[in-house]
Amino acid sequence: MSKVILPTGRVVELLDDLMRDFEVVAPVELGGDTIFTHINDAEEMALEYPNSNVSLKEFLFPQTECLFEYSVQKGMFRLKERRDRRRRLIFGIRPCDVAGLRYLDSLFSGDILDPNYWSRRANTKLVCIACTKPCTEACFCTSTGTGPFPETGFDLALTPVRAGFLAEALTESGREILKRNSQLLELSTEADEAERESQAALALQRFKRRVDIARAVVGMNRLFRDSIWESTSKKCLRCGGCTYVCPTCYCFNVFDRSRNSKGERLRHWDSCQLIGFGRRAGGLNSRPSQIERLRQWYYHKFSYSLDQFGMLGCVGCGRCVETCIGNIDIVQVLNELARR
Amino acid sequence: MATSNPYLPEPAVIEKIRVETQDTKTYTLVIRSPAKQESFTFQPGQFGIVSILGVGEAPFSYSSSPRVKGSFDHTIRSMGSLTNALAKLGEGEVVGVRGPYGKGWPIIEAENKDVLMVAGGLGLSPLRPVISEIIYRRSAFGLVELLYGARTPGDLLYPHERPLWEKTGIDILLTVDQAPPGTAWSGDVGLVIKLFDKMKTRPQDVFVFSCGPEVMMRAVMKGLLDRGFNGDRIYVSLERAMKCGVGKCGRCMVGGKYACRDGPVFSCSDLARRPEGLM
Amino acid sequence: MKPILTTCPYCGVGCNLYLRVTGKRVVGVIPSRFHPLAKGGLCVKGWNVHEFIHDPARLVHPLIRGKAGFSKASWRMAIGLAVERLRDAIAKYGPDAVACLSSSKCTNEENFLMQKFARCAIGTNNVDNCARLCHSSTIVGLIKAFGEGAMTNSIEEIEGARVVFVVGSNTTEEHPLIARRILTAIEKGAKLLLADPRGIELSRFATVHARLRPGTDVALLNGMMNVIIAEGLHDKAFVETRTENFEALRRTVERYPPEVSAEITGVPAAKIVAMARIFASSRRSTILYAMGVTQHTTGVDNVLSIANLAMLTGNVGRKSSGISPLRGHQNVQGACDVGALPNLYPGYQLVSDSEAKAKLEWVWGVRLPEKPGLTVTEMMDAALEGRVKAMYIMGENPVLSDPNSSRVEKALSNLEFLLVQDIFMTETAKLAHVILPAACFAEKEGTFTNTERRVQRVRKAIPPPGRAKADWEILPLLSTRMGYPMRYTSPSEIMDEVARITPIYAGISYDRLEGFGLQWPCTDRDHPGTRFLHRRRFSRGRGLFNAVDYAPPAEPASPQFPFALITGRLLSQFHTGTMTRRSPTLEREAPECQVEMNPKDAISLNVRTGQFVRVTSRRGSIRARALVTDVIDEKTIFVPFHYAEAAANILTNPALDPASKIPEYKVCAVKIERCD
Repeated sequence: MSKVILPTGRVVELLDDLMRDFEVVAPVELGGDTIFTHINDAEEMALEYPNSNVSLKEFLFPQTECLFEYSVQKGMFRLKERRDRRRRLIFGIRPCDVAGLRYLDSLFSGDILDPNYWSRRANTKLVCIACTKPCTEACFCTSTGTGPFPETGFDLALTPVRAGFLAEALTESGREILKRNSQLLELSTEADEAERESQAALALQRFKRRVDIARAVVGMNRLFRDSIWESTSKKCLRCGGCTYVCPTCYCFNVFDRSRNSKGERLRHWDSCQLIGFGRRAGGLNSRPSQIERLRQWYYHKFSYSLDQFGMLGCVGCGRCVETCIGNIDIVQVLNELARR
Repeated sequence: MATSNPYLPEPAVIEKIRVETQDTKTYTLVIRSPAKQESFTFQPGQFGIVSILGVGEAPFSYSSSPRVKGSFDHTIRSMGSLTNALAKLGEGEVVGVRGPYGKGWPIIEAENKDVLMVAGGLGLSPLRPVISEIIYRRSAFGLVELLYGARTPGDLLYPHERPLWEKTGIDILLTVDQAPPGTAWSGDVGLVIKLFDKMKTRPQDVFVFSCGPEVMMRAVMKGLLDRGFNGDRIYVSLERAMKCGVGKCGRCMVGGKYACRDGPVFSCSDLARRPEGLM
Repeated sequence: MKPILTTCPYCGVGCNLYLRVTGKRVVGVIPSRFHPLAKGGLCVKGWNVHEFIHDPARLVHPLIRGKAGFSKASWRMAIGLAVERLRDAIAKYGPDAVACLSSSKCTNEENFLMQKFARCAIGTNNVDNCARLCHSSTIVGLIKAFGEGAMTNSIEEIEGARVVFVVGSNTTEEHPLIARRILTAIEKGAKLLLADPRGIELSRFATVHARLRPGTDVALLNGMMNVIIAEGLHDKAFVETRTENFEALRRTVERYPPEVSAEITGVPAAKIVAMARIFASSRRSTILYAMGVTQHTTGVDNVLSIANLAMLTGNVGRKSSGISPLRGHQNVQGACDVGALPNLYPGYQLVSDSEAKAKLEWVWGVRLPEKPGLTVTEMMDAALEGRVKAMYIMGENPVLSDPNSSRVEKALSNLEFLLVQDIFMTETAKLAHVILPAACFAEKEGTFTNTERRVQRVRKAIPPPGRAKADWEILPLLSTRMGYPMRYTSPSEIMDEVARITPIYAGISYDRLEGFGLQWPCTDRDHPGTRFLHRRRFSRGRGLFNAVDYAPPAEPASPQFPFALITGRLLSQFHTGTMTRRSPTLEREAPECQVEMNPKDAISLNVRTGQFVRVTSRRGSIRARALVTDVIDEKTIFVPFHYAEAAANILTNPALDPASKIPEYKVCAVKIERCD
């Protein structure tokens, strides 16, 4: 990894250059919220920002998208696939979300590729900005090993130091970006790199919310029928928010919409927290109460994902805590599991 | 499969419709593209996804013999929006198909052993390909027995084929939940598991394949385990809500596995080890 | 395109959320982190609020009914025909033969124009909105008791309450983001008192759950007040300095000792005593109520009793106390605020107030009709009896939402002319002569006012589909063609007019509504809005105690109809389902009507969950699947009213509260039999 410094004052110029080649998605302040969105002007980007309250998966895997259009005639039908191959660059993605995308990359690949996800993903570059402190009161990435400094999964990483950002490229695309904009950059010094290390250590200390995930995972193996699932699910108001905001939640539903003989097959984010998720034709529901549904979410993230991908299904972003309208806190639940 | 779009259904013509019971039909489908139909094959126990554009998609086990080229069958009961729409279609109309998906019955491993099949209602249809295979190579298997139950005599599937199965050395025991007045039924009345007392199959050296309502499969598993059958060799075909069929959408998850990819056929021991198991 | 911040159109909470737009489609939703109500959360409806927008069944052309069904028409033709037919009706039968039904789903600006259309272009006060069906009891009751018919405090304050008393509100399903506040309050140590006939989800958290018989709220509340006075737990200073008519109240509740109350309500006397003591133990006791209180022939009395209880214990005009009528809809509060009511002008000024009338005549340049108009329930009767000949229905589906559906259908079919304006072809629209296609919430600018009096912005994210127009554009077309010119270049201009003539909205203008809106009263351009009401004095001066006696429901159970029917709503569906039934995620949550039935009744009727039953009342019959559960008591059933194929309102009783004219949706008599 080559290390250079991008002075803070030159970020806008870098963005200007990137916007020539990519659709740039960056954090913008809207109505007090930080929202990642396509920018038309480099100055729109917020330089200091807490992470957005929803994950960035919607840029690779939108909440609603068309899989294909169809037209039906007598004895035949025709399909037209929809693909989004725009060149995109997400500037300012946080390490937890980079980890989230690594998880989705694993899920949507394997022996069968999801074409809609991959036509976007293959054309998306990630410029990650490290966190020197918790973005919100809820996040806990140090416990899930997915932050606050990124280690892998990005094209370019920017770490805040005194002089600006220490820039490290991981991929060819990342190196390309630095090469093209070398006039904006300065060489990093030993002092800068030492500062990065001390920043990393300081950042770790600043994360007060901790979870003994390893212990919780071990506990879960015993606790499938524990009363914790009942007491926690009692508060759940079935909004689905935890699954919608989560960087690693990927369940989707497919439905058709027609007008006369033409239509679209759409897919839409789904949630294992909803009653209808486990119901099949005939009315039987494999998860009939909120106890089973809530438990499924925890097991999927902290048990099954480890078997499936060797990765935890949680990146410690804390968004589920903020959005839960039943005031359920995943950290509290995990710590309780670790304790029992 | 890796480069093509797994979500695109392929047009297939309904070549023949055979009415099985008052709410169940067997559809014989032929993929419209001769090349694709030619190269199409599946393992007994696998399933395909049938699409009616504008209505939706649903998974159905293949119910024909994979050795029959040129077409494939699904035996389908009307119970939801897709199946009701399908029931209104006639021969010659076109539906979309995707597949084959999933893990089928471990027939090869059952060679040189006894085979016990326990089916309830529509659950006989994913076993029909197994039966075809066994008939085709009868001497490769030992004692082969089928225990089959349905709600009423009119709900028992494939009545015209069962005599042929018996002739080729498959012992069949039938039962119904009730025989409505007026139907000529001289057979057993009661749950399928009651037939365990009458069956010839012994617990040793046998593979069990079972399919039917989940409450039945649970009872079958318990009944056989109690009788000393080996849980590693008892296989069930689970039914779960499904959407994509390829292990992406998360809908069919069972205790960390996908029913569409790691199943729908699972061994009893595997299910017992998993948190959600048989529900 | 940047995500657009707007207000959710479903329940009365009015969470703000961002709509994510790609091209001309709304493809996703992002919650607003700092919105005081949503605080980064949404319920399942909010998260999927965009699902119905692009349903191909959206109305995109004006339609005119001919012999062979509906055919597409141009706007000019459709408006021309509508105006011609309305004018005919006025010429032949007079302006009061025309009735306008305004929409609680439309913006404040649109409701304002509708009432103006009725009053100025047609010349009638026959304008109403569906608040009639849900909170008219609140308006009448609280105006009587306090002088103001709205929520007294802000939703945020619920978290700081020590006692939360929820009456007739299934909060976790109907107002989830308010339920969140209740849960937070409980986590902080608050006690939850619940009065509801059903074992709703909220009861899991209740310190005391009074499972009272439907329609017996007055008896319960009087019983509580009896205990409070008898034990000297009332706030004597408050009663003395800030209220009047205490003596009358005292004498009435004296006749409701806990044993009497228990006899009527079916709630054990000990529970009534416990509830009374707990409620009176704090000056941070807040009352939340909804349809379970208002939708009765005694709806106004129920509200008055709640007001009595609050005043008796000094729990009004203070932080984290007060009364919160949870408005069912967005935008039912606003529709009432801007005068889409037969007896009230914008700002709750009485139609019979000659000064208010004169002022408006001057501003609007036209003589205004004198007689207060018909309420929506009266409109249907009048249509049936031939006194109303033409109706204009905007964004409402009375065939499914009004009581006694077959009567409503007959009534509307009896009209000489029916004009319907909506986003989908509803059961009501099917009866229309002319249908005008309207824009949904994501396709127009405007404002909604939520249940805590907060005026919030609705922002346009995408253009309306096809040739559909926003209601605020359609009404001026009709009005101008009718001869009363209306010309507005934007909804902002309309709100400016509202502000000019409505004291409680006087300080409201679009430039002040960035951020999260303003709570009325907002009386001038510098006024910051009002968090809670009645701090030092009630709007009417002193709060008025209204002594009320218990009266039974209009149609009690009888040997022929031995079950009590409660109708209501579910979490994932909304009202007549026009939007939610076309949202795949929401529809899947509750795809069919289920009749809640107690296990003991199920046994005696030989019914299991999933089997069909036939429910019959004196007015009609429906067939739906049973759901056997002990959430409902014996000899009672619950039917949600979202399903056209099993329309609960075929059964309901159009008996009205005499003052508010609200129908008694919450209790009538039915019989049930198994039907296969």
